[in-house]
Amino acid sequence: MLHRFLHHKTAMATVGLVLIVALLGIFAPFVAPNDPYTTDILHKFQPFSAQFPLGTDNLGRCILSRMLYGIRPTLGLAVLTMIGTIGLGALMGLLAGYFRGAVEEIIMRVVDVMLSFPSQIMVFAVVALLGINVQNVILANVFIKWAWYARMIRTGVMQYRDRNFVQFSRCIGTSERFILLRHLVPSIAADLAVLASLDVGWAIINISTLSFLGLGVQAPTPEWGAMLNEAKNVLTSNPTQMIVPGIAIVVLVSAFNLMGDALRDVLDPKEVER
Amino acid sequence: MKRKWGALLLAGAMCVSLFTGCSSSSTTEATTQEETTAQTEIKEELVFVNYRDIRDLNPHLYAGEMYAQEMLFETLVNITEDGYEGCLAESWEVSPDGKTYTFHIREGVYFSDGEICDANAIKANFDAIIENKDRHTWLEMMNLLVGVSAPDANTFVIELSEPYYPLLTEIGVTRPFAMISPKAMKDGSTKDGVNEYIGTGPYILSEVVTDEYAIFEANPNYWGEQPKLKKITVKVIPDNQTRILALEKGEIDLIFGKNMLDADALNQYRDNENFTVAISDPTSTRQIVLNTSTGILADKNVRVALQHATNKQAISEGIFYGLEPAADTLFAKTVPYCDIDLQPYAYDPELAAQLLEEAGWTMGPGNVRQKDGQKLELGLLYNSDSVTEKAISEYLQSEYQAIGVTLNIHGEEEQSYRDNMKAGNFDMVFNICWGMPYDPQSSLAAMRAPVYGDYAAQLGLEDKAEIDQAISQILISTDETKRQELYDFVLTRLHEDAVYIPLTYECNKAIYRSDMKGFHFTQTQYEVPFEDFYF
Repeated sequence: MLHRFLHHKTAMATVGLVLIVALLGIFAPFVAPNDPYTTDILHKFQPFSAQFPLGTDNLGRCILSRMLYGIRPTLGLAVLTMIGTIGLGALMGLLAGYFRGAVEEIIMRVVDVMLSFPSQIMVFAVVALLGINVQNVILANVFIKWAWYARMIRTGVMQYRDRNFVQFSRCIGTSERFILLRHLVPSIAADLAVLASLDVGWAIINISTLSFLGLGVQAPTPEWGAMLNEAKNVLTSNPTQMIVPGIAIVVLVSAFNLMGDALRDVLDPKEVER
Repeated sequence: MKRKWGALLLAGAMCVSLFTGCSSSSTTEATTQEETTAQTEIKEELVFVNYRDIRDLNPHLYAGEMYAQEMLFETLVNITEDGYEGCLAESWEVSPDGKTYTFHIREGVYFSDGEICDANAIKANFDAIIENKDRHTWLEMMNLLVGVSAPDANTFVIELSEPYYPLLTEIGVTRPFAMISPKAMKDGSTKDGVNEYIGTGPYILSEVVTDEYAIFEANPNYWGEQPKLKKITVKVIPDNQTRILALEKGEIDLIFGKNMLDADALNQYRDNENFTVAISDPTSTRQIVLNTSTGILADKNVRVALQHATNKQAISEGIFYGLEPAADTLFAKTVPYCDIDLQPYAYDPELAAQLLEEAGWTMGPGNVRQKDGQKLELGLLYNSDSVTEKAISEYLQSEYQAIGVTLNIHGEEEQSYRDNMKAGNFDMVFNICWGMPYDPQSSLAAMRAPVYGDYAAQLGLEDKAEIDQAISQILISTDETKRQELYDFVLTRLHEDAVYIPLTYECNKAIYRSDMKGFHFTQTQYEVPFEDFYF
């Protein structure tokens, strides 16, 4: 599998890009040329220069430094959201798919209800209800999105639950817990990975959207969506302001989407050949 | 594979939209050219823009947009640069003791529903306003009023218990003493709303679609000179950039208002032939009110420290490119009675840090000062409908952080921002003086009751009662020197108590199509003089 991965150009390129971005975010304090919070209001909207490689924003802060520090909330929160969503979704999906019966009925009907709401509106509603801060944004996203995963994972589990190795295991009296954790979770792990990487892109867009609307990450924390919002306020007078965060979001989200595709090809080659 | 096709399609769609974007802008250019050629006949319509709906225009209450109330309704007198001028009252006399005002009502004025606007109609209006007395606490005349009467159809009399010098100002401002047709009242009362917005003004309201637009048409029976603009459409566009793009595209003709335009946009149009930029003289003071009744800010040292930590000069130059000069005191020296020798708080972050240190706030972990385990953390509330307050907030946030004060900034749309301010739900909040003709007497009078944030903010002051009493005395004082002395006292106390951080002297700003003529600002910052504009 590693061999296939190393020879798959898209997979290599996208995973590489995401890794580089993540590392830049982690080591932002060492990489960033300036303090992202230092304002110098008399030098706002500066063009590109040696001191400010990408210019300065509406308060004279270094855009490059803010972009680098912005990776942490942008990417970090997206990954956190995905872990939460996948965690909850996988748990529910496993329970529903394995135990069937009443458990499945209850879980799946709740899932049906959740899926019948338009997700973006629900996120707004939840954030408005709980109050504006970062935890609530993540909570809202997890709360809205888990149902989708629960359904996907339940289908995956149902494929495996009647396979022979699971049946044998059950015959010799292994505990349910062992079967779930040792047999079923590893079997669906590959699917989970693909699903997750496909949807990190969605999570980034979502968190950036909320920040853009002023509901997510709050000032002065640098975040790409929030930076785009600030750039929007000077759309006509300084249109260059929105180029950098705009392109960065597009590139990163595309990278995640392509990575999801590529990972599926790598993990499940038969599907592609067919 | 499907996903890739999707991406390609999306990219394609974006390219197409780019091209159509270009072509549509060229077609608008063409249409504007056509328009200008067709404009040999005079354009009589104007499209104005505002960030919110006109809302409830009941002239006796405060919920509606003031420019719209000015278009529909008129008062007994008008306030001009040179003093008072007759409007619905042709002339007036004041009794020698200053307690009785007799107005001679203009004859032949009719409301737009055909009702005559005589002394009886005016009395009906006054009765409706006085019925809702509690709502008008900022008007000192309400407390001094003995009675109003209409001895005959052309005479209207106001009697007061004390001689009160700002009376004509109070009945001359936009609201609440504007006249609505008695027929539009609900059983002679207006406090619970009115049936229709029927006034005597130069325009009548012909159509409203909430949150989209409102159309005003010239009142054909107006007693004064007919306005040259026959139709005024007011569009609602909440976003600053969208407004500017709409102006650029020719969808609107005029952007006008203190918080409708940011300095970058003004700079951008400064040398543009098609549009003219206008900036008024300073009208009022942009300031931050410190809530002295909350824990941390109850300490005067902290308030003074914040005064010294605020770099007004940088705000003036950095955010406003010097268009709004930095402010040193609550009222500009040009405001009547306010030319007082006060020592401004100079920008000195080191002194600020030292003051905080002396007050017991020592530097703790994370570069935030602490005292008895409490962090020096303050909230700053701003109006998110204003185009510049957010930028100022973020700037102050980073400046204060440097001396170890954490500022949590929080924006709310105008109405809830005002509600919070009035209820005192803030540590620090953006505020404005009311500007001419309200400054200083009405602004000060309003500090004695919860009208805006001032009352709640000053509650923590030890000398609050003393200040309030002095303000009350100012309003009924007849002796000019005594009055000035009292003003000196109140303004000096407020300055020394460091309740207000003055930032800049605000200006009214406008951008309009260069072919529009007759543009000017008025004495009050809330009014748009549409009747003087023409093409």
